[in-house]
Amino acid sequence: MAVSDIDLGKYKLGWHDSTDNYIYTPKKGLNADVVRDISGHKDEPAWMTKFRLNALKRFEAKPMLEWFAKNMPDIDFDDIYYYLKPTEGQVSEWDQLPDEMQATYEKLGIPEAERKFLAGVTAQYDSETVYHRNRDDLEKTGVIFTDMDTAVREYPEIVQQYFATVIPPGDNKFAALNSAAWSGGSFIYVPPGVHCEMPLQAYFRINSNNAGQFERTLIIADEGSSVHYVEGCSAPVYSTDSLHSAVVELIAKPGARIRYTTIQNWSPNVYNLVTKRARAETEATVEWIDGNLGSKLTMKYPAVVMTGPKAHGEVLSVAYAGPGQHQDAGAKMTHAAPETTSIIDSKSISKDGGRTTYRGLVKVEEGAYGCKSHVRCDALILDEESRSDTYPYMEIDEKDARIGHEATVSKVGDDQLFYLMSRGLTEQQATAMIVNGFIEPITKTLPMEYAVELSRLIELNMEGAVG
Amino acid sequence: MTSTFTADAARAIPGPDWLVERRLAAAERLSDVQWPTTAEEIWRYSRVDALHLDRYRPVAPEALGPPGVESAPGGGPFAAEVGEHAGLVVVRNGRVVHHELDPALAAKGVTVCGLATCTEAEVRDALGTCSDASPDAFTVLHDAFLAGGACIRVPDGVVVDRPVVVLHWADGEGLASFPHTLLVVGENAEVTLVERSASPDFPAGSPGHLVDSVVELLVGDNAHVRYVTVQEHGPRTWQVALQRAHLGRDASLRSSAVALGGHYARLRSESLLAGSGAESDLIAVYFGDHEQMLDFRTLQDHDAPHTHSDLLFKGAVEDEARSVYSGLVHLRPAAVKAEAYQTNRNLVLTEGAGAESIPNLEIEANDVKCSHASTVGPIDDDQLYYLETRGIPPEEAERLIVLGFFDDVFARLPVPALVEPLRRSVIEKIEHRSAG
Repeated sequence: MAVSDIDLGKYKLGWHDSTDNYIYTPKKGLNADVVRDISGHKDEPAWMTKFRLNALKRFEAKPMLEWFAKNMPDIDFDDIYYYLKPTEGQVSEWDQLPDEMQATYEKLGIPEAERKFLAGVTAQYDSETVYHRNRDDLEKTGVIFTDMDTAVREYPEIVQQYFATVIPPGDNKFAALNSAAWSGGSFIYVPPGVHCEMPLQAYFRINSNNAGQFERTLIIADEGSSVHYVEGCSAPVYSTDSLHSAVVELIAKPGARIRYTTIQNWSPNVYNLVTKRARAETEATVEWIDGNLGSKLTMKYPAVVMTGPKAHGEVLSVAYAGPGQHQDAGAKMTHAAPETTSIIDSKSISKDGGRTTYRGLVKVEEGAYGCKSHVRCDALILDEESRSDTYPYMEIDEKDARIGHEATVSKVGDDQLFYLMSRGLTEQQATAMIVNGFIEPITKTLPMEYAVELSRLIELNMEGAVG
Repeated sequence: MTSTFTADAARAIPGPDWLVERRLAAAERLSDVQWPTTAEEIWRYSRVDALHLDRYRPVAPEALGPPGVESAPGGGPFAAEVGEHAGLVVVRNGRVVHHELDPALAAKGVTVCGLATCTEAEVRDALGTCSDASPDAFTVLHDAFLAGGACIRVPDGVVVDRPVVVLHWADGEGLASFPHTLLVVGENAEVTLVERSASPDFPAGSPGHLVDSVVELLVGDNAHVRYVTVQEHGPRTWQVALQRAHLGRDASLRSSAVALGGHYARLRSESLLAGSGAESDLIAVYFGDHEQMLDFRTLQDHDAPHTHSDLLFKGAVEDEARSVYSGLVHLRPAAVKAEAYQTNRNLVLTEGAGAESIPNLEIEANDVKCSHASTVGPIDDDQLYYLETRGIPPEEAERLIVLGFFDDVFARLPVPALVEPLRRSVIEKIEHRSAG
């Protein structure tokens, strides 16, 4: 592996574009008028408006959970813009975007990635999807890939059948918030037996300050099909906080396979509070691959509910917490059917006062015989200021279930450093190499381009690291 | 908080002035205490919602039986199983009814007595040190109704070469008792303490007996303590217990818990490694059957450099029984070069039984070694098959495997003489199923 020591210690995606030409920006805060406004702007059917208003009531009624409140004492729900519409309509050519916006996406490398290896791309900018395009051959297979707002208009039957069935609005306070204020996100339907060979990607960019981004993603892989979805995200650096609170629902029908990869690189002023859950039916497989590098605070526990026999769930995650960051991430596996299996593999690194938390649950319901689950959490703490916590819950209501958990916490080994430095590497290069080796079990599951990107991001963050 | 556990009731319990004052101060705090619910994380999975304090009343002063070893049934034989012992305390419903000590040790300054017979000066610096550092509603209730308890003090440099035995017996339907054990071990001293808690069965539908106990182990610099607690309560007894040790520089604790009885038996087992080089070894064996719930909350709290802790909790559940293991390893910033390990293993023997396992880590220091592991599963089919192919009947094979499962914990029991009797108790538990 090439080891670079480019000086990029700080967040590199922190620029912002002008917001002067935004089409619509309501007042800060969330209330029934704002919700009706959002729904009106989208010209939504009445059922969706009603859904949003009901969810708003749930959001207002639900108290903040104690550990949520503890993690974010400063969050101010009234100081957030809940809907920011940057452009009128959506384009399918990058050069039709306003120049500044196009330049932003060029700098982020999205159009280049699209040309090389993606079957379809949506790009969301604040609240709206501003660009969307599928490869011509994708449509021939019958795969639907579009933004969620378009899906509500054009595929009402499928949307109404599945929307909010995996994560109902009352699931938690932030799912309720998203259900009330959602805008953008991806909708994918893969017909039976169709294998999407190339990944589909969405890129989420926050641009405004005090922005709220509440995208909503729904992926349905019908019987025997497969799809790989990749999302990336970034935001400008501001002194005020932004809020990203997505809801992602996956449905893997019998024998289907969904892989969902996230490279989260929000700027350090973003609260990232996301609810992600999948339903895996008979013999289906769902994999969440989760890289958390950015944000001020991330609280995200991708879940797989295995409802059919022999379903399989997997969460592979890497978290990096630098100065002022708290990555409170984990996974949730519910074994609700016999002979289901799951794997959770979590690697975390904390440095310069950063804090990583693994919080997870493996639940085996009574009657779900023959289940197996294995959870592994490894944490590296790179200096004295940093901290790492592990809270793995196991609730086993079935006799015939084999459930294991193991975790280690360590620093970079002196002997490993010594070995590499005696071969002429600097301490920083050696540390970066060890850390990259530490997360390799996760990076090797990524498409090559993302693996390289993730390794590079980790290396940048290692700048100045001393074991 | 309730109609029966009032300040007046706390005042009515006899005792020296300092103890009555201490009780009244706690009774005052009690009025501000929120009764716990399972909505609180530390009470999640517990049966605290089904524990109605109104169904119990404090032990009346006249409810005590005559003093003597026999007032703790089973205690006599148990004390014999421990083998030759240095001292014995019998505690009935939280009050010491008998105590004895080898005169040779008494001459060296060792004391074994009842808390209520101590002067304030003798216990002021020790009593409550541990429970005040880890309070909850039950420790406050305990303090408000503390009638007495075992007090064992070993002065600096004295080695007590045989175990001191404390036998707790809780009887009386609808009563709540508050046993307390205070062990104070001076610098360079050594002692082994063995406790057994037991209670009878009560009629069906009865509230049984509530035991709200506190064990405080204060281990001085370079002192070494071995501790065994055996819990064999009747099937309708509720137990909420705190056992907490504070360890000084280069001190060591080898603590083991064997939990077999009770309807709901909760044990908080905590070690504070306060001095550099301190070592704590916490092990436990638990076996739940019928409707039992055995609930363990452990804490390995490292607050000094070069500290070392290890924990191994192994349990089995059958019938409708449930077990909870929730443990925290906390390495504070001062815990440089600390090592901490935590292992919980659970066997689920029958359909309908269940186990919760939550081994938590909070690590605030970086130059440390720390790992934990936990498993929940049935008896391994391969092992069963192997034994059966050798002609061993399935029930016998299962018994052997379960005993083998517990063997590494028994091997670490600090009082080897207890291993055989405790193995027999586990066998009885396994066999009730094949019998019934």
